[in-house]
Amino acid sequence: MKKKIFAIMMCMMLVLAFCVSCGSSGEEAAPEESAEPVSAEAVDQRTVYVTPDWVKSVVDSNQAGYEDYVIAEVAYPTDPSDDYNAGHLPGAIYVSIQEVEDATGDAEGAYNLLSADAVRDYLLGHGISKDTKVILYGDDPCGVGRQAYGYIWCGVEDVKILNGGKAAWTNAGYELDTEAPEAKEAAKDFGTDVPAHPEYWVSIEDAKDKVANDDNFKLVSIRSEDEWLGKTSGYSYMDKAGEPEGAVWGKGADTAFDVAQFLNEDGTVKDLAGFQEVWADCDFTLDNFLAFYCGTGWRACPPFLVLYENGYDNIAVYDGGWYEWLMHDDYPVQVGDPASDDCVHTTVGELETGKALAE
Amino acid sequence: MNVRRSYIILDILAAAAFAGVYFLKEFARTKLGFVRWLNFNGNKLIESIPYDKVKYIMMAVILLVALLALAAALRRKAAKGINGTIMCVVLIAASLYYVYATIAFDYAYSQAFFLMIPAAGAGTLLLAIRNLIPPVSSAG
Repeated sequence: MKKKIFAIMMCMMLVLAFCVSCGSSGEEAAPEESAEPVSAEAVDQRTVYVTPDWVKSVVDSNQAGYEDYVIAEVAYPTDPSDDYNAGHLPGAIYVSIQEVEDATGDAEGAYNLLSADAVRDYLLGHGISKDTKVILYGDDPCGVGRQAYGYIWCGVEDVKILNGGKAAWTNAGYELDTEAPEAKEAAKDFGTDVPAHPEYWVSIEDAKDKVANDDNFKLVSIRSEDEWLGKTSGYSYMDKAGEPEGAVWGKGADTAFDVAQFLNEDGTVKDLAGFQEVWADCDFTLDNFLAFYCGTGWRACPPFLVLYENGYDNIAVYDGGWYEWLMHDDYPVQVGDPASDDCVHTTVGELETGKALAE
Repeated sequence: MNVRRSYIILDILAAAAFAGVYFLKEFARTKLGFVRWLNFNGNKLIESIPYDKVKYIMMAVILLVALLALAAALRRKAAKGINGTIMCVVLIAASLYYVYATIAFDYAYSQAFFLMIPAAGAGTLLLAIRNLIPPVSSAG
């Protein structure tokens, strides 16, 4: 009897494995009721972080100027995530972070933003041009921030993020939908050359050059204290720890996978005053040119966006972060607090290995 | 070791190996940290060994074992019973799947391809070993 059961189990496992080869299918679920229409005060075009009430007012067609909008749930998988299928904001499409950034991590891609043409083509496919109002949300404030940053860099002029994501939406008493939204017709013309804002993106070459030669240029590390001090790289896939020489610490993270210090207790991203509190004793001011970076560009995005929405243009993201810096053995590195005598100044090639985050 | 117990252990391990193929692909599709770990270690592995050669040599060896196991099972009377027949069919299906995986799985298919192929190979090998072990009646 046991033999038969195991024989059947084997058959089932094989069928399962074959099914994987054929791809995955979407789930269907019953629609939910919608809540009552909501109004909310208008916000500036450059405002990024918005409340559930404001998003609801757009969904309810009670926000002037926001008739042509796309709302999208952001997550990493290329196909709609299980979270999305389980329930999403009414009318929300699904967009993958892999539509804005490289997923290979090879020397050419380095987890940086994709080419502007590629990002634009994905946007056009979703019916988004530079004038389309885009509202993003997701569970990870860094991932959603990365998507928003990529869209702004590419040229979308009005990008919002539902601050607090789906949790904030449901906590506000609004319901989720499980019906697949009607696909918007693909846009043909984006309306501007891309990237419309190349000034918001700093290459590794520029980062290295400017941090060494421009006193006003601050390469701001949005990494945890252990990463900043070179105790760990923070990642399982980087085996050397340290920071680009000349970098200053912008705090924000407790680990390589959060920006906890930039968040309120309810999980929403802090406002500018909250960021300034975190940065009170940091070695930069908001008058400097600030190029934020982290490991691969996710944690760097929330501070960029908060300054962006407050009208700052002296900001950018050094996209390659510590990951791309490690690809260059001759690049200068500091290990430890640069204000202390113990700080070691060396190069990537000379760094000791074994500093990857233990799994 | 008791023959029946060894069958059970090998069945469980083979099922785990094929389940591993599924979960590796799923995690590579959904887990950012895992994808990047795969990129890092996959690149290191492919730089350090001639991966393509190794995978085909592995496939040839495992298929040879599977063929021997099939021949042995078919020679045994027990193979004519329903259990033996089912296990032979499962082994053939697993072997075909492993050949398909070896030929078709690459980075574009899944970043976890370099783990999925050996997992499918391990599952096939475990099934082959299971078929090589004579059932209780002929084991004496």
